[in-house]
Amino acid sequence: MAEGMRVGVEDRPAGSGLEQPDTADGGLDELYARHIGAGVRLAFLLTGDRSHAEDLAQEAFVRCVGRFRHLRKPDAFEAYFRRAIVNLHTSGLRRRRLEREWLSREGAASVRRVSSQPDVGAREDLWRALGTLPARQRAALVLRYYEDLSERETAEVLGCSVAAVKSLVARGGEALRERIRGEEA
Amino acid sequence: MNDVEQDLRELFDRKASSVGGVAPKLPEQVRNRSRRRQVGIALVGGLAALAVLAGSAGVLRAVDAGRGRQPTPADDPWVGYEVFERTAVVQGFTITSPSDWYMVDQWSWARPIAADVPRDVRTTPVLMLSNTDRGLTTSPCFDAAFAVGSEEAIMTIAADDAYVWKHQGQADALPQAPTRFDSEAPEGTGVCGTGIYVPFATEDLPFVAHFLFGEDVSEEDRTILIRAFETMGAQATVDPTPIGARRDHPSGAYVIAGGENAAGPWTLELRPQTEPAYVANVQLELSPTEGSGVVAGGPFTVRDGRPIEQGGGNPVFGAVVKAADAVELRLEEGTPPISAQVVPLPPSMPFDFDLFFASNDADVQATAVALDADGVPIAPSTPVTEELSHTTFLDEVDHLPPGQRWAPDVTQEGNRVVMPITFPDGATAELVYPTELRLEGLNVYPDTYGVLDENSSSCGWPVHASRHDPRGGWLRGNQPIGGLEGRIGYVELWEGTQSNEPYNFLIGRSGSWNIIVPCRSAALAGDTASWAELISAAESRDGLLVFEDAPRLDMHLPEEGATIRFSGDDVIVDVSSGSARCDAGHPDMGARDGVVQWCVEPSGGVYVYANAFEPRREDFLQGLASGLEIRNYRPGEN
Repeated sequence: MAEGMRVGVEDRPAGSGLEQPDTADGGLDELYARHIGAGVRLAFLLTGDRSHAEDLAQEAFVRCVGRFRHLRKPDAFEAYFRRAIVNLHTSGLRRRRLEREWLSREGAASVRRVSSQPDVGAREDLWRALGTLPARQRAALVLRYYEDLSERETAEVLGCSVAAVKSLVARGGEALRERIRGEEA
Repeated sequence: MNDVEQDLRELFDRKASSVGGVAPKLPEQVRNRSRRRQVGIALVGGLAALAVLAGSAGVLRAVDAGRGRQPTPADDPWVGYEVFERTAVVQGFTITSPSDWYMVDQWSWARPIAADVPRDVRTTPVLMLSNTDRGLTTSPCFDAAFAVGSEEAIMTIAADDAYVWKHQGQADALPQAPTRFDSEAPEGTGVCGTGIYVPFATEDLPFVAHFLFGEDVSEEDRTILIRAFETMGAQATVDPTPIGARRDHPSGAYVIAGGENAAGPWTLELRPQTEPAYVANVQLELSPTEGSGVVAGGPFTVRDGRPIEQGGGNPVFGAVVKAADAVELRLEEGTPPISAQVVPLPPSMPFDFDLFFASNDADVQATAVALDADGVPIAPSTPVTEELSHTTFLDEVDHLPPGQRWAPDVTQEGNRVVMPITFPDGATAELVYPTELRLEGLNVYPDTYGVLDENSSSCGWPVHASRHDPRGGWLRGNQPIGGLEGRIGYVELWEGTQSNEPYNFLIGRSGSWNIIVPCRSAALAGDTASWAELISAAESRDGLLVFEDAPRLDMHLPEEGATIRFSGDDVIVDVSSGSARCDAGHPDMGARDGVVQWCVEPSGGVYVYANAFEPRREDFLQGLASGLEIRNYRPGEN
């Protein structure tokens, strides 16, 4: 299994020894170097688009750094960073949905297409099916099976209950099965 | 799930690996934004802390009255009042107890405090039930000096984070609520100090019930408390994550009553605050109220017997002068009146009125009348439903007819069109674009984001304005459910249509525009009232709208920018001023996925985002991306 954000070792500058990084300029560089790779990979699994993933991770980094000095446990940056990425991703999708609803409220003609997530590079069935899941279902699957978070940790990132995580994962899995079956039929 | 799980694990690993190396060097624009963000957040934190101290001093003086002292029989406010059995739901826990016991919903007060407690010793109080009034700002789980009085009986239900920490979150081993209280259980010492601890689980979450009994507590009170626990329904709705300083409820809330209407269970809570009073059935917020007779509780009135926050017509509630011996709801002629339950305020709230509530199952118009001991109305009464006949201002203003579009006037310069615009933050500019783009043929709207008290986004996310009548598309019914005189004039609160759930809408008017502020239906009542009071805007010379900041209300968020939205049948174009997006990311000029976005005027942070919903509009997006210019940009003063 690839290194998820929970480790991020390969992004850490050799010998940095960062456990309680500060955010003075030097610390900012090290913090970025340590976390950005894992952040981009997580964002890529959520979005399916490499450059969008980089933007998303950088945006999440900026937002987390702003709050960094207020973190009671600075080494919890990773958890905040992960949460920010997931939230930014889902809020982006929410924007599309809101725009469609907005048009409908304002009486415009019906909307038949909302552009999908940015280009989904690979074409494997499962990957394609994953791209059709609601954002939170997809995020729950990525957090559980890529980041290897527990249900409780996943719930903390998604801001929901453990029961809701179970439901998201179960429904996401079931939807994937059905869609793959549908394509095979 | 095993089959898909394994496939997903392999897929995720492969895909993550395909991302390849990521440059570890901090890009300059990210560094600059990070620095600005750090400075901004630091300032916000200081201001927020000041606001809490200044705003809550009076409240805390009142609600802290019960803390650290021994209650006496003279404190009992229920002498002369009818005690009833109260069943109420607090954060998913359904508890039945006599109404002269004090139940405090502590969750929103406790969560920020819990964030400062080390996780391995942390519990977060959800509620406290006691036979004396301990005020709204204390818990044995937070206060090391908390001492039980000799005749007191106190139960705290708390989310047990310490258990999660020690047992990796596995609550399976705990008994599921409802569970028994072991009367032989010895006192122990734990995260809430000494006391009797009964751990239990519900919804996979571990909780603990903590009991304190004074040495002279009556057997009756002891039995009442244990019974309340053993009959407790538990379907926890709490999110166990502490929330740091995000919310600033300076206190818990007294649980006054509970019941059920067509929409489900309701709980009437009393939460003091210094903000404008506002009535809603889930949260009755009161400030000292002058006058006599029945008062509706603040600038919002409950119309039509309908609670503002949960819908339905039940219950009717309010405040009444202490001189009243009873309150009844008078319905239409020929219908028997409904007796209301009168509830005294707890001793820690030294205000000169009582509360009342009554079921109004028929959901009909009712007038609450205060009666003396002889059943005679004691003062001119204010009908709870006095605003029923109110005609919404939406009936009295001109709207743009359906299907008709509006855009600012334009001029032609050769084969290009010039459209002067004023952004919602007051910035001005000229949009210059090829004639064939025909942006002036689209509908144009101001659109922005607002935040109250630096951190509350329960309303105003985002704020729209429309020249069309918002009824039908946005608003349900033909009548608002509340109203409030604000800076902008009368602001109405409407229920949202089903497709807008969970939002209600504040509707105000400025110039030719209807201002539309979505508020989550579960938004704090005080937040909704504050938005209604503070929202303000003025029409600009080009016919657009400039939103004004106010103390506590920031209408211009750099992350989002202040936006002019162009919309047609199948396209949306947002042009935002002062957007931090100009600092980040790469331009996306490829129209194939239906979206283009780029920074069109970096010095003003003018950012364009366009979403075409139809493939045939790809040409439009390309034309926009290659032909749109911003000229004569001037930043706003807001």
